[in-house]
Amino acid sequence: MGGALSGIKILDFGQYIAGPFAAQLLAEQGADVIKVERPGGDPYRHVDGFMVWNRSKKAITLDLKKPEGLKIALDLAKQSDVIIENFKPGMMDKLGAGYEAVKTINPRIVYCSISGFGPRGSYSNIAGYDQLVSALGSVYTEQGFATHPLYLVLPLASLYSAAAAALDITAGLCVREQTGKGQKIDISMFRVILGTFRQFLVDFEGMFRAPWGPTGPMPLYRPYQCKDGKWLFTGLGNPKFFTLFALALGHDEWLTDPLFEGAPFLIFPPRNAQVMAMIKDIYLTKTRDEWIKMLRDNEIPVAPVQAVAEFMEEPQVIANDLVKTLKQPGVGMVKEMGIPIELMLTPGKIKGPAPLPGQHTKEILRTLGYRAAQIKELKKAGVVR
Amino acid sequence: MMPFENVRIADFTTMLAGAGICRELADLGADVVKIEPVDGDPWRMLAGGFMGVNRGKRCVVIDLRKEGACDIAYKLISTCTMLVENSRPGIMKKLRMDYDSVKQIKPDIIYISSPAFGSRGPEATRPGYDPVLQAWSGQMEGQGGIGQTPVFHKIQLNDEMGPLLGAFGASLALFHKLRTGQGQFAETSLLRSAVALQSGNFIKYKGMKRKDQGKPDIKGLSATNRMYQGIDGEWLYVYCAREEHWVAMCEVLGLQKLVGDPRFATAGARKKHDRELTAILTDSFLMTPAGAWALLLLVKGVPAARAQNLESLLKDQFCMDTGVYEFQQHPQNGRVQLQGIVPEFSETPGKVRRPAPMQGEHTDEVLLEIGYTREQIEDFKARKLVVQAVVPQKK
Repeated sequence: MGGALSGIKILDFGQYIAGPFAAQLLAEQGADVIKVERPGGDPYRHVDGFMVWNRSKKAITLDLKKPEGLKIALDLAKQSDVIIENFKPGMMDKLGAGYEAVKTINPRIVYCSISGFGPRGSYSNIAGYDQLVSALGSVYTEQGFATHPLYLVLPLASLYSAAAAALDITAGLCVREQTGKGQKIDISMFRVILGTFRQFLVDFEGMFRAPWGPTGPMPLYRPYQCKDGKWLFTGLGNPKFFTLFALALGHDEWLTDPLFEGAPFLIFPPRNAQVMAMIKDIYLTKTRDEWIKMLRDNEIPVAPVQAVAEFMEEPQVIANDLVKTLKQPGVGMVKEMGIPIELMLTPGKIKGPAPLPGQHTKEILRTLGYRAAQIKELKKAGVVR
Repeated sequence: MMPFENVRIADFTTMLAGAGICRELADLGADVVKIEPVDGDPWRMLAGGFMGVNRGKRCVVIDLRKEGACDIAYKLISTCTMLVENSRPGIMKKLRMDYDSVKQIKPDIIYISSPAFGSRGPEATRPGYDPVLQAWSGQMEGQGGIGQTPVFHKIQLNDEMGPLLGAFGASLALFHKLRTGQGQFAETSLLRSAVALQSGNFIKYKGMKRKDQGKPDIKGLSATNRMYQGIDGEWLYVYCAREEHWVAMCEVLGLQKLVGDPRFATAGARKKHDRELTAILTDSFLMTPAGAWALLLLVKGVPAARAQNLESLLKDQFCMDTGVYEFQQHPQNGRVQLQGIVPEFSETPGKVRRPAPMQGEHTDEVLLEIGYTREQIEDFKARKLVVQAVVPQKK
């Protein structure tokens, strides 16, 4: 059986990360995705991640600012089930391919706009760069030190927004399957990143907030350095694991020591610093691998701190089918992400590497009824590439 | 109508990632019934955290270890479209709640499983929490820098991706069921979340130049793409994505002379003299409050934003104006401010249906709904198969 979204057609005007990644997640669950690129190309074409976030798609290069280019886009929109775009709010309307325009020719369209801050309110005109969303969304301050914020390397707002869009578009398709009606779905990256703070972003009398810093405030749930300079993470995520840990270390007295009251999570300042200092010294007595073996033998959640390149080699990752090798044009054989959600009856599939710019322009125009001579004209006029 | 209005879910999850899958679905209208053990979801310890991931749900307590309790759960499941769980592989089988068992009761069930390490492979049955995966997958070292102090992300990276991927899988399975009537089994995991979040660098090819951008104390990627401090001690982010942004920023800062300075005239030159430029800009930004800089830069079209914290976000005017928050009356915690629904659907918006439930708050209600009589329910309680919470009177 094909993917869950087999037969669903998606027009992907996305660029950078959030839009393209959402479309790729949907493409590999069976949808047919056409990536519409502007003549300058997706600004992320030079980034390694581009190869992954644009797999399994066909590509057409189209100048939407030219009337003939817009006509082609609308002809494609007419045949599509889903549109994804992540321009600044209002941009697609200005070009003539916004939700209102598409709805009149295709009322069944599920139209998803991803933007930095959504279409309304005072932030809506701020460019939706991941860094700005993260700054206003408290990400860097909350991760930071008492004196200054810390920049995060992973573009989290974009990545989470892609997954959220894939989920919400599919929900929109479920609605349409029952009512026959399409709709507009707005995803604000700002709201999405706030969502990841949901457990802290709650305000009521008595809500406890601990300062975080780079390694967190919790002495039984944090990284520690070992004798050989290498790091590990001990995750005593419930009282049972704390008990196992104390017993494994031969510190049975911890179980009744008031210093550890509230273990594992509710050891607050100033006790947390005392416990941290004690455990820090203990970890310095053995190498990381010695500790990992010992803790794992005692069924305690623990892992070495390692690099993503090492993670890619882990038998566990490979056993779950999460490393795939694709031949990417111009790059060669590339090891990259498998499919992050696995459905047993309707399995997903990688349909091919990221397309070259305009790789399928001719083929797509032919399906719209354009003849070879017309396509040549369009190319000459700079409408398509 | 809400997107998942007619979908009832048997929610066997605890902690974050699994519970979050059902939270996402509840936000879009699903009727989620959390089936909690007698000793409780360990995440109840963290009141704020628990409320965030369990809002919108109802809760019944069934002690599945007791003889006869299984049938109560089966009867509930037979009224559900979907079951979600996130236990270690093998545990659901022990409880006779694994896919094969449940399929006997409800052949078209959609069964979503989200174990930490996935169901296959040598580490499948290991216990795992989000930061264990943060460490193992490269996320901590990627941020802290190779060989440096690793950074434990405050955003529970994989526990936050898991809900989105799991709910995506659930929606896909629902879509397929709407088209064909068939249910199925679907799996995600913290492991898969860690891969998806690193999809941009979970990459390997011959000749690849790995960008190791992480550092223990990093404020951005370059002088024109980083945070600066204002005179009030607050910080802002400025990102000159294009040449015109750079020129405009210099004007706003009164540093027009830098534009013609050969050290900074081109992007390449600025990169070469990054440290010098950072020092100059650091001094300049220190002359005015950060928020004022951000406004001045935005007016001139330069991408910039204040760095907020959670305290300021809770009072943020934009958030108030655009309905980011909801206010609820909670039986135990009083007036609670929390984030509302994230996606905005023009025709079928989601809704926070109710605050997070107390343990066993809806046991009577749900058991009556699925067809048990009051006498039967009292008998279950007497045999300690189920527990109904004592709900305090609302003030």
